[in-house]
Amino acid sequence: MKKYFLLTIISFLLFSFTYGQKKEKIIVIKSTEHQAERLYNDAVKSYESKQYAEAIDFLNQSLKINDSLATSYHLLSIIQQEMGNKQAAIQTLQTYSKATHHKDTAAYMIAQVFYGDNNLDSASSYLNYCISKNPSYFNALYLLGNINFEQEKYNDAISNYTKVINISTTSADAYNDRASAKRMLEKYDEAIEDYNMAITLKKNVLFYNNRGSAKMKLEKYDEAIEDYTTAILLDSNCYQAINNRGVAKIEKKDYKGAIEDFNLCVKRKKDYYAAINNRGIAYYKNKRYKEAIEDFNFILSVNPSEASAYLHRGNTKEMLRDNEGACSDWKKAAELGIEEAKGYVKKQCEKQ
Amino acid sequence: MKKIISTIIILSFYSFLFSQNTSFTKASFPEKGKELKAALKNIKKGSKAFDKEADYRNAAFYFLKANEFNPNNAELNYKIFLCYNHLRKKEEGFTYLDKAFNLDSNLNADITFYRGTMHHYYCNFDTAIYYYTIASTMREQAVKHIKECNTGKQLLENEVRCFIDNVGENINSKADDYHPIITADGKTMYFTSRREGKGIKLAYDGRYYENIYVSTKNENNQWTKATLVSELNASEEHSAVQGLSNDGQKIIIYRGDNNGDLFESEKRKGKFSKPKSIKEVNKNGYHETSASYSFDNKTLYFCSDRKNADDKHDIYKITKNMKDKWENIEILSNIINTNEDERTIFAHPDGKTIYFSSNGHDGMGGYDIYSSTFENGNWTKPVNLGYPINTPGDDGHFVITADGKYGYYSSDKAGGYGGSDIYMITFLGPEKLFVYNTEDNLLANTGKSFLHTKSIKSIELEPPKLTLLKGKVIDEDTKEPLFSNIELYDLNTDELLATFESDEETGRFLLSLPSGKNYSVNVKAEGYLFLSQNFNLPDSASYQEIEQTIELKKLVVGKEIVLNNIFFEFNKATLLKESKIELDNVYKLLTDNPNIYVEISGHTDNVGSANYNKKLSQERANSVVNYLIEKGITKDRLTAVGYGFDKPIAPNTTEEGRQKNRRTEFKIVKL
Repeated sequence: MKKYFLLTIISFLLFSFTYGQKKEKIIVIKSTEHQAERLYNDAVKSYESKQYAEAIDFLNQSLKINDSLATSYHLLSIIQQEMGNKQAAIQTLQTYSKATHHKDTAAYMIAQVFYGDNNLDSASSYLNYCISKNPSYFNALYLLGNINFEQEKYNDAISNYTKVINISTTSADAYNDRASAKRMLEKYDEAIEDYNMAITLKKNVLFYNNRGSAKMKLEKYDEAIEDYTTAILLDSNCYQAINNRGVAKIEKKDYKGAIEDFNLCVKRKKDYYAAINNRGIAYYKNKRYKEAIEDFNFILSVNPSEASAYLHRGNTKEMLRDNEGACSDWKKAAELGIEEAKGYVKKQCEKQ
Repeated sequence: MKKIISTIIILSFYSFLFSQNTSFTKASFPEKGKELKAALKNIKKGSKAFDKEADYRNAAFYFLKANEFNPNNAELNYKIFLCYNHLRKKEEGFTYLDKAFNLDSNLNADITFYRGTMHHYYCNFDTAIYYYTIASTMREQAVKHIKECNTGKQLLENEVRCFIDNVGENINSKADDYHPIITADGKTMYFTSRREGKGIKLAYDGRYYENIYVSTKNENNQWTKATLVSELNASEEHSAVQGLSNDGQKIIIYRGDNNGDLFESEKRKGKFSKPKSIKEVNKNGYHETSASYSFDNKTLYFCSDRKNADDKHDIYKITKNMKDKWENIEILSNIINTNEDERTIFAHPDGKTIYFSSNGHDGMGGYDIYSSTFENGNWTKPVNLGYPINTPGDDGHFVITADGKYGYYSSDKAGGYGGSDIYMITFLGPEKLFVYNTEDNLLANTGKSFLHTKSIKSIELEPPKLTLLKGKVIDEDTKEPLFSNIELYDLNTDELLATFESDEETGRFLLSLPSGKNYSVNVKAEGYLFLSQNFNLPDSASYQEIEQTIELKKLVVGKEIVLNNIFFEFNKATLLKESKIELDNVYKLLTDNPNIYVEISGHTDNVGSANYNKKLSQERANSVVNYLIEKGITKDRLTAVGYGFDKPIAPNTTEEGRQKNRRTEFKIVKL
C-alpha cells in the first residue's frame, strides 16, 4: 500500500510540472500489480483514442476498486473538462480531495481547473488553501504568481515568484516572470536584472524579447534592438520580436529599417494588425504618406471601429494637405474616444 | 565614412571616364582656330572684370561665352563658379564647381573646401564633413562648417512640422527677392527686390539696385502682382524695406547713404511721405540695417556694425521719450549678440518675442533664424527655428503673423525662381499623437501575450497671447472714412502706452494688444465726440482678432456716447481709479469746446427696485459731474441725471446685456 501511495504522488508531481501546457500530459502507470491501475491504463488508451465514454467507464471501475487512486481522478477530471463539463471535473476533484490525505495536491488540481476556466478568484482561493497546507508547494506558488500577475497584483506576484526562486534557484522561467512583474511596476532596472539572470540560466527567445522591451522603456533603443535581434536569431518566426524591433527603429528614426522589419513581421504572421499599424506610422515618418494611408485603410477595412487608425489616417491626410479628409478622420477618432483628436478638431477643423 | 569615401572614388572614376580636362589650345581644337581665338578673348575680358573690377556679373557673362565653346575646362568652370559665388547664386555656381572638380579634383588648393560647401549646401552633411576635414586651405572656416554640419544633422533629425511654399511669381522674380515684411494681420507685404525694371539701374556689383515692392492679399487670400512703391525708391541707390509698423502706417527703409542708413516714412492719403533719415539711429560711417517697431511703436530694434565694424552687426534698441523723440540706444545683451553677425530683426506683435538671423549662434550654415523672448527682464537663450526653415544657405528676414500660424522669410535655398526667393511657412504645430502597438509574452509558461500601446505626444507650444484689434473709423452719418488718433492706455497705471492713427484714405487701423493689461482704446477725431473702449486682457487671454467699425459722432446737439471706461465700486457711486483716463478725456473735450453743455447720465440694469436703481444712477452721474467741476468745468455746463433702468440699450435677460445697461453716458444738450 505504501508503494502504491508513493507511486501516486510521483505521478502527480510529474503531472504538476506540466500544468501550463495546453494539452495535459497523461501518466501511464508502469506498475500494474493492482486491478485499479490496470483499469486506469486501459482508460488512458481509450482517452488517447478519444473514446471518452469507454475511458470514463474504465476510470469509474478503477475508482470503485480504489477510491483514492489520484491518477484516475485526475484523468477523469481532464476528460470531463474536454467534454466541456468543468463543473463535473471540479466535483470529481472535490471527491478526490475528500478521499485523500493529500489535500494540497487536490486543491492545486481544482485550482488548475478554475484557472483553465479563467475563474481566477476561485483558482486563487484553492491555491492559497494548497499553500496553507504546504507552503513549499512549488507549482501552487508559481501558478498563484501568474494569477496575481494576470490580476495586475504585481507585488503579490513578485512575492510568489520570489518564493518559487527560493525553492528552485535555477528556475529561469520564474526569474523571467518576476522580471515581467517588476516591469509592470515600472521598476525597469530591477526587471532587467532578473531578465539577465533568466538569460544566464537559459537562452530563451522570450527572455531576450522581454528584456528588449524593458530596455525600450528606458529608451535604450540600441540595446533593445540588440536583444530583439538575438530573439529573432533564436527563432526567426518570433513575429513579436520583429515587430518590437521595428518600433525601436522608429524611435531611432531609422524609418527604412523599421519598415523592413514590419514587412518581415507581416510575412511571418499575415494580417498582423499591430505591425501593419506600426508600418503605417513608419511610412508617415518616412514621408511616404500614400503608403501610410493604405495601411490605415487596411486596418479600417478589417475593423471600422479602430479609433487609432482614424487618428493616424487623419494625421497623414493633414500632411497631404487634405484638410477636409483629416478633419473627417479626427472627428471619427474623437467620437471613438481619442481625447487628443477632439483637440485637433477644435483647433484645426472648426472655423474660428 | 568608409562608405562615403568609396562612393566618392567611384563617382570620380566614372567622371574621369566620361570627360577630360580640355585646355584652350590649338592642339585641343586644331580645326577651330577662329572660335578658339574668340573664346580666349572672352576669357581675357572675363578675367579683367573679375580680377580688376570685381564685376562678377560681367565676368560670368564672358566666361560663360567661352564655356559654350569649350565646356570641359576645369579652370574656366571653377571661375564661373566663383563668379556665381560672389553673386550669391550658389546653386547655379555649384553646377560649374561640380564640373570643375570632376575634370580636375586637384585643380587648386581651395577646390576641396568649396566641394565641401557644395555638399553642405545640399545637406549631404557627412560628405561635406569629409571634404572639410581633408581641405588644406581655409581651415578656420572648415572647422566652423564641420560644427555646422553636425548641428545640421541634428536639426534634420528633428524637422519642424510645417509646409514651406514659394509665395509664387506674383512676388518672386528670377532676381533676388527678399526681406518680406507684413502688417500684423498678414494682408499686406512689402519686400525688396533686385529685379530688372523700368528706370532701375545696375549697381556696382552687377545686379540691379534694391527697390521696394508691395503686394496685398485679394479676396481669395492670394497675393496680388507686386507693384513698385515708387515714392520709397531712388533711381541710383539701394532702397530696401526694413521695418513696418503693425498697422502698415509707418515704414523703415535702408539706403546706401553714409555707408548705409535707416530712413522712416509715414503713410498719408495712401502714399508714403518722403523718407527721412532716423538721425538718432544712424551713426556716421557705420552700417545700420534691418529694423522693427515694437507693438506700440515706442521701441525700435535695429542692426548696426558700430561696435565691431567689419560688417559684423549687433542688434540694438532705441526708445521714444515723452516728447515722442527717439533716445537711449542700448545694445541687446550678449545672449542675443555674438562676435559674428546678427542682422535682420523682427519684433512680434506679442510685445515680447524677437526673431533675428545670425551666423554666430549654433546654426547649420550661413545665417540661421532664431527666436528669443523677453522674460523677467532678460532675453531667453535664442532658439534655432530648425530645419526646414533654416537651411545651410543664408536664411533671414523672417516675419511671422500675429496669430503665429504663418511666417514669411527669404532664402537662397535650392529651387525657386532664382536667387533668393520669398517663402511662406505654414506652421503645423507639434507632432500629432501616434499610438504604436507592441506585444510581449511576458510570462514564460502561460502562452498569453500582452499587448501594449505607446503614445507619442508632443508638448503643445503656447500660441501668441495678444488681441489684434482692427477695423475702420467712419463718420456715423456719412459713413465716410475718418482720419483719427487712437490712444492706447493702461488703465491700471494710467500710462499712455501708444498712439496710432487710422489711415487717412481708408480709415483703417490695426492695433496689437498683448495680453496682461487692462486697456482703454480712445478714438478721437477733430469735430467729433471721442469713443472709448475697454479691453481687459488677463495674462492668460489667448489670441483673438476683433474687427470693428468705429462710428464717430459729430459734435452736435443731441449726440450721445457711452463712456465705456468709467467704473464704480460695486453698488456704490464711488469712482474707481481706472476711470481717471476717461474722465480726463471728457474734461479735455469740454475745455477744447467751451461752448458745449452736456448731460451726464447714469444707467443701471433691472436688478433691484426702481427706486434703488434711480438713486444709484443719480449718485453715479453726480460723481462724474463733481469730478469735472473739481477739475474746473463750470457747474452750469453740466447736468447730472439718473435714469435707473428706464433706458436700457440691451435686453436685461443676459449678463452681457445687463453689463451693457450699467453705463454712464455723455450727451450734448447745447452748443
